[in-house]
Amino acid sequence: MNYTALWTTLELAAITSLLLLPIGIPIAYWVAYSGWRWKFLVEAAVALPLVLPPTVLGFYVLVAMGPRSPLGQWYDSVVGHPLPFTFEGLVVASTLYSLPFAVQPMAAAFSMVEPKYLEASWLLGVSRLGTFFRVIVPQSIGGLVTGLVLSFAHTLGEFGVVLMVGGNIEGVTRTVSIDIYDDVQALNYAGANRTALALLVFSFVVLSSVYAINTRIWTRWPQTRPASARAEAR
Amino acid sequence: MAANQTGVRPSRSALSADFEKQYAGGMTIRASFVLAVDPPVTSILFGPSGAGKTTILRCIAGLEPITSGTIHFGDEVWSDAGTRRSVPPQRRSLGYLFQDHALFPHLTVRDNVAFGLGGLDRTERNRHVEEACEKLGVEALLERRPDQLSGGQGQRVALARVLVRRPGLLLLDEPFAALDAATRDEVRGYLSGFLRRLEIPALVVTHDWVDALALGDEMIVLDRGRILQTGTPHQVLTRPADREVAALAGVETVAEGRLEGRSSGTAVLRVGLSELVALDPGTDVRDFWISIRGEDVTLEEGTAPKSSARNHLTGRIVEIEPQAALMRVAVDVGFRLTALVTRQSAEDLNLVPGKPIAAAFKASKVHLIPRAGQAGDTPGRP
Repeated sequence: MNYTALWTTLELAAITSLLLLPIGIPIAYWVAYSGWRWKFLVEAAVALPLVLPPTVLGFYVLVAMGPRSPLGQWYDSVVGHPLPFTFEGLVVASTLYSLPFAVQPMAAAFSMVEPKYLEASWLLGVSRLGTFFRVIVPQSIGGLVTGLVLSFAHTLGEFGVVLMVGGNIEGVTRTVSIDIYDDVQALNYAGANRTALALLVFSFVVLSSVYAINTRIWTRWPQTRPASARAEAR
Repeated sequence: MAANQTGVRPSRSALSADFEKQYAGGMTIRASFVLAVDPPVTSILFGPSGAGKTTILRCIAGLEPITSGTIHFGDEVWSDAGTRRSVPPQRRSLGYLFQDHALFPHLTVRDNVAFGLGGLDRTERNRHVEEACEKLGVEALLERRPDQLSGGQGQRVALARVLVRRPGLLLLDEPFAALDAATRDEVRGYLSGFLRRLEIPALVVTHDWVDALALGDEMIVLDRGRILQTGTPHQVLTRPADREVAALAGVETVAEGRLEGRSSGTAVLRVGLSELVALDPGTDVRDFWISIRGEDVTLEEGTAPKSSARNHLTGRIVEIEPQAALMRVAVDVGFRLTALVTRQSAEDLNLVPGKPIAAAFKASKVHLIPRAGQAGDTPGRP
């Protein structure tokens, strides 16, 4: 098994999923609570990576990061080298690509928190930010963990975007999924099988632990939603 | 909030609300009333569901913007639609009791009660929490989670959580809606005594006239966003201003009664100049509101025949007026007792004001509502 590729992959997945916490949480909060009428457009944009071919996303990310784009030029002038075909470029691309996997479970969990708890908190003198950390987060732990783990697991399995943006540079941008592809191209079926099996088992373990955590959390706090609670006079 | 901990009281009129709230759907809710602080008064916001009661409470709490008008608390302006000024809920000195208590499910009773005590150190916070929980008799439940509390306990914890911050005003939204019937009577008795000792003005939303009698010093009747009548609960319930109020809140007979004795499941109460028999309420309370529905009162002429009704009171007719297909007959039997009889009966008995008549009703039709040392409210007294 190619341990360098495995390490690159784990590093990419860890950084991406951690980066998606400060990026995904505010977006999820906004999606869950905003009353803006055009909100659906933002929701659709966030969900795009779910349906787009990775090559499409990868292509546009590549163009946006390229030396001809203002963004690419700015990055080059600040850091001293262009973004594409580097590990950082890969991080940017996979953050975009995994965004819905973080935002959707988080937003779903946030909107499950009943409004009366937020109002109770405000009426006890606690600010909106304080309410977020003391009421929303503790009641949304399941969704936050799901978002974190799903984006981690999804980044592990990336292929198209990584190939488009990162190329296939050993020790820099060659991830496990590309390694498997290379093995198959080289007719090294045994090597491909070892890596593929490891990825399969790992993904299964990660996902089953997410589902296990969620089951426990939801049974611990049974959510009863009296329909009458806010129906009066509205 | 730090300011509340010092116990500074705002000036005489605690809350003056004069505003409108308009919904996109077209319904407009108008509210205009003053809640006094000296002495602190418990006001009942009474009306059927959909009348706008909860909306008024939410506007006062700052949870909903108002469309026009103002809400003042003491000399603070809480909401002013003209200047688009609105103090956020966090900075309004009020305690809001939610219908189903809204205790945070992820926190223990202790942490729930301590939730709004930011800015205090740990020992101070614990002291305040324990003090408040003792006052409400829930100090044994400190380490429990909300799902391990009964409905009545949950309400006490919710009250402790609110009172620990020493609010200048209490808002209670249907405080008994989340409780089953048996618990409701117990909690109502407790809450009515508690609110009276508390010395904080309170606004209570309810659609149940029993709550109004048990808790209220004043009563505001509301329907479809309009205030129909204000007065003491006794006045409103026994002398509805018009048909609309009568239909919403008309309880034909309400009077003060005092328990005189009890025997084999029944109780004897002195009401005005008379005595009547009711089912033993089984509490230690001695003072009650007694209420009797007009449909349950039978009028009889001459000496009362043998009947299973335990109460036969004699008196003179004070007033007769038609009410829909029936006649509403008020009889002075030592207190004002109202009967609803058919027009045919009224004709057959030749009912006219001044005529002596006997009224009969079963002991089980006398409804008793504990009255916790209520001040004022003289109209029911002889």
